[in-house]
Amino acid sequence: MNTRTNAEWAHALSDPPGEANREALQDLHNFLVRAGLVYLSQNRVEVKTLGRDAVRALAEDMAQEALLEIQADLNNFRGEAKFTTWACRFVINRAASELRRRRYRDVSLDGLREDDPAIFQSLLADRTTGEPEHLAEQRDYLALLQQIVLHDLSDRQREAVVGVHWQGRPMGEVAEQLGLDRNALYKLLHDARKRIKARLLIEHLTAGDILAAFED
Amino acid sequence: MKHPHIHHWLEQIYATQESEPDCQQFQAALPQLVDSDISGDALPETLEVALRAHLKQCSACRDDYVALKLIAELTAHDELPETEDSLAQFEAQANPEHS
Repeated sequence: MNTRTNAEWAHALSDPPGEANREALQDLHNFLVRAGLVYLSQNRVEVKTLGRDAVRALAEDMAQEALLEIQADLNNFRGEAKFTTWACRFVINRAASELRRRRYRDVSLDGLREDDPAIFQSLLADRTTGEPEHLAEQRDYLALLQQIVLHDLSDRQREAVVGVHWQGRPMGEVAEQLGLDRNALYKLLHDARKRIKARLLIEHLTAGDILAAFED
Repeated sequence: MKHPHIHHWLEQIYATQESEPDCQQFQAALPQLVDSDISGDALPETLEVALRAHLKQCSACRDDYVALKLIAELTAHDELPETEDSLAQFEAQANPEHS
């Protein structure tokens, strides 16, 4: 790939169709294919059944889609990062989205709507080893957290918290199941964290108090 | 949810700020953060603090950060594998007896 400065990339890609423009598009496409393959190699589980040609086709498709998005977004490139780093984010997003689709297409929606109190009861029941006073303190804190999550959060916030924090599911999976994009899920979780934090502070529980109870 | 998870969740709760960059804002600045990490050139402090705070709260953006940093580092050191090399590696791992 030709080494170009940010300005040279932006200029060549904005050029009217011609040799410089064609060469820049080809170089960028090749770079995006190589970057996409590195991403896929780090997330091999979802593509392990694909043969060489299918992996190549997947990487080519991802690169082509990313290339179109980059061209559409080129006016927003302000040169604050290297052009290749900026461009690479598009192919990573494409690849992550494709892998998420493959990973979660068969996942049930039921998991996030389990009986929340039952989940908390199982957490409380898990705490059976250690000093009785310490266990009692942990149970008290967990009971308070249960009360806050069950009574102070909206249904959607509770589903998000249960999925991401209690069940430890990836955000992509939970977002998919709730029919949200990742940004909306982040905002839901942020609002939930703010509510829980406010309630804990109303109870005069500082981070030091409660975190110490769950130190190993 | 086991001990370390509860602890981590509680840390996230207490680290919560009234206003935090959301995923879209973080993603827009992610290339800058990665290049800054690689080059050692510092970002404006308020931007860096806000981005690091989001990284601690959002596992999905953390995954993107790790992936982009890996690829940007390989690119910066001119070590990004060629297409055919990557495909050969996929093939070798899919069919280990033929490699």
